[in-house]
Amino acid sequence: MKLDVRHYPGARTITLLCLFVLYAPLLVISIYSFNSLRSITTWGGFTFDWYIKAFNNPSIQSATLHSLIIAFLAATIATAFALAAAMGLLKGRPLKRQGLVVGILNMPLVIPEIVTAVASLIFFVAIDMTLGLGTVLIAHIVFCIPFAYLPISTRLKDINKRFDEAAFDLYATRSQAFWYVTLPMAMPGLLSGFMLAFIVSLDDFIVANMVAGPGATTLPMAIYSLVRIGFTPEINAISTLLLLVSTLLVTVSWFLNRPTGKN
Amino acid sequence: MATTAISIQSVTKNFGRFEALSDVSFDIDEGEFFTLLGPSGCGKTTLLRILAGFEETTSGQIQLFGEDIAHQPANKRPINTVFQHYSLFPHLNIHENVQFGLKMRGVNKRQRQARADEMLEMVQLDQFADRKPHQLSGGQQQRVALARALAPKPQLLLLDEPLSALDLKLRQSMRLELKKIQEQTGITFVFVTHDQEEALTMSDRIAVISSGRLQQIGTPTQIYERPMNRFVADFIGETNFLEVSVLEQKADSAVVSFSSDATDTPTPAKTVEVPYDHKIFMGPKGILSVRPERIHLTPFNEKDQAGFFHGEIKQAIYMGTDTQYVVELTWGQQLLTRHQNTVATPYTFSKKDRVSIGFDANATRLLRR
Amino acid sequence: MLEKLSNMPDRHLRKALLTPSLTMIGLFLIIPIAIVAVYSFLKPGTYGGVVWDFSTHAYRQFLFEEDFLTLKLQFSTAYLEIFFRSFTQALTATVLCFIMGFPTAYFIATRSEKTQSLWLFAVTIPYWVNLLIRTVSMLFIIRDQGPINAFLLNLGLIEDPIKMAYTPFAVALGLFYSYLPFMVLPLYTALSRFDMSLLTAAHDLYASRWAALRHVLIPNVKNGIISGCLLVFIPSIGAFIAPDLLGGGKQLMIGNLIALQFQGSRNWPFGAAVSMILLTMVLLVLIIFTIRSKHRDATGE
Repeated sequence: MKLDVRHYPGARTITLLCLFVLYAPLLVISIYSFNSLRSITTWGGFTFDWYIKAFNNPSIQSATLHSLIIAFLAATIATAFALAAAMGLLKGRPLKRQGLVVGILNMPLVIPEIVTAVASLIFFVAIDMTLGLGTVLIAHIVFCIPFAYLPISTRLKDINKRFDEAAFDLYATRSQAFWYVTLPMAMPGLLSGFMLAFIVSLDDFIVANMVAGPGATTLPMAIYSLVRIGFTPEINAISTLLLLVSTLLVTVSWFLNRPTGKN
Repeated sequence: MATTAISIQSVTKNFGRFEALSDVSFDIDEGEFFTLLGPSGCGKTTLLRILAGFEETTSGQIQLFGEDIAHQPANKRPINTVFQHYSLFPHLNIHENVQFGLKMRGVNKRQRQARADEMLEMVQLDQFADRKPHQLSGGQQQRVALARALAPKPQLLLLDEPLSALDLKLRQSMRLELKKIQEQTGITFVFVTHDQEEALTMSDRIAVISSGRLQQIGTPTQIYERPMNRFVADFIGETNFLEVSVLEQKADSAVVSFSSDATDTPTPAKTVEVPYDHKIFMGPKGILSVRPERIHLTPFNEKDQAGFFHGEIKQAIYMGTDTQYVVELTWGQQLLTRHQNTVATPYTFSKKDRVSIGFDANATRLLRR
Repeated sequence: MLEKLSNMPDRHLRKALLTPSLTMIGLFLIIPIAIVAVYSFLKPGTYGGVVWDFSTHAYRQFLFEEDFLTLKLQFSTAYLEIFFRSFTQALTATVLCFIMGFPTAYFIATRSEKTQSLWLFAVTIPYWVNLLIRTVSMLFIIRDQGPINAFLLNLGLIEDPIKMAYTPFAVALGLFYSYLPFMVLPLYTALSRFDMSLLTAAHDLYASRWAALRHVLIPNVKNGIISGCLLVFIPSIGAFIAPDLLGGGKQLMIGNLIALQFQGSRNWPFGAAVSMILLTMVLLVLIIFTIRSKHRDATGE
């Protein structure tokens, strides 16, 4: 194998180093979240204390609730909109301005987050809309759409047109074909899109920070203010929890969306 | 008098500037196993899709048992399709797949399930009812596709090259099965293929299509023995074409003489009287189609020049049941001959042997050049 | 007429399906950005907001400063420095990501098919973890009281903690950490499409593996390299969290500058102007590279 010119020494080492760099900080923080002492150098024993403290913190509680509600609503609405858009774009011959439409759908991904945040803020103020959870929700739906759209459109593209034809050949109306053939086959893409949109909404700090009104704090915003004050193990605990939730959702999404080779 | 199941009248189909079908007209009888045969890209699949309702005609009429269906959407036509790649719904099991058409039609659960059971039994897959398509082999999936298309008792069944993805042995056994099922159910089958052997073995009648035009329509025997043009003669089976000049036209025969094409000198000027079909309008020049199995070779004898021409064996190919010879004639043209290897075979030849070439004049076919 | 027969949804239905998404994005992103553009040409209100008076002051402010005493305009480099710093940080992060990302992508692309997706999965998961948390954990590790310093101090290798946090190095490291998966993925895609037997062919023609890398591998994955670099560079240049948390308020980048105008400084037109400049830069970079890649595809490079 070493004689194989395609083998480059060091590639494996660097890859492992990369993974190490990516995961080490997260692992370290997780470990310290269980340390009963605040110290870095001494291990005081395994404890869930910090988790309990974090759970009991009222501002953390409300922030978490806000984040979860917004993430759920934003993901649901964005997924529905994205599914409709994907059906509109992909079922049939390419539309006249297909490229433009796809560009617009992906626009939120291209615009720097800070610009999106600023634009949203200016807009809401300009139309005299009160800043609050509602404005955060609206802004989130906008950038969740492309995240939901991607796995949905990939899945729909994979579903060959011939299944539609087979359904029509067997007397299905358009809505029957959608309900009994397209939707079930696209379901993994839908779930995947929902989960990605959910994570993206849950994770957002910059936009929420800019357009949230007083009292409409989201979890990332709460974490930010805590960090500004100083490091506490509660921060470690919250971070570890969020880490676990994200990892779980991404893993499930990944399993669902693996190419199944059914075609 | 057979009932006409499908009547196709002057159907033309254009895709932009490309003419896929050009003024095609023919009828298909009820209960027939009818085949559309032609090379890739000839338009046969387009015609099938038009019948199914996935494409619209640019002009022309289509009638199903007397009713005009050209503008009827696919999901309203009582016509079902067995697709080339089966298109079985991957998220449903076999049983549910077969029920699909009936479910869309609103048939109640008990009846649907009974019918699906019946269909799966007919194709001998009833014990796989719970499996998903990807768990079955290609041949099995194909039978499910057939069962699914037949379950709603369509007035016409379309089959789009259904056997092309199967290996040889499987293909051969499936051909027999399809034929059996067609006879059993009595449903009119319209079968599309590019494999002429398949067409010849399975069909009641064949429509040969090339470049969007109907070349000839007839029974397998008619197509093989009495092709109407060069394309059909060449596409079905194998044949040799000899250039001839038509010297005289009689009632149902013609006298022709051979000319070589490389040079303009006639061969040892032999003339022969061959059958002549007046439907093929002939000019002074024609070609004579002679099938390889109709040519007989004898060792060449300088003194006694038998046969029509002589030549030299270029290749001798032993094929088990037959031996094929490639013979090069004096003017460079090569002929393919074939004869069965039986005990009674008088001669075997090898490369470089000189031979005389003869054939039964009545087994030839005179065509336009 | 044709649409009815084909059973494909007709144009009206398809447009209707697209409406919710397009309206959402059009109304809440495109129009707002247009308003930002407009605002950048207005004057700042006293307590934030704008005064509807046309002025290019916001853009001039970027380059010039009004001298307090003479009221004359003087060329000021303060804001240009911020742009320059953002540019260099983003560039550093991109280079770092490439150095680490390319071998990683290559390694993954040369694994067996089944393992490939697992490796990719492992590399992508961190991206989905909250960026704030990832940056926070990076800070946690490199700060003076963090584990790295504690470890080194304990072993007696150093006397005073190494100042890693709140330095330009920390910010570059943070950016690298944030966007590394974005370099790996497009590189992986390009490399997996690359025909490895070309390297064997090069070897047959006397090339060493490094020469093959330079002359055969890299030219053929150019598109992937450019994608990866863009995907790291563009978010980095507009980043907020990394410079904010890891820079300690002294390593302002464009993102922080913009945010500042809407929090402390309350100079909305200026914030809008800087936003437009950033947006223009990003779009220009994208357009240039899209055109070049289309050109490259067309000439069959």
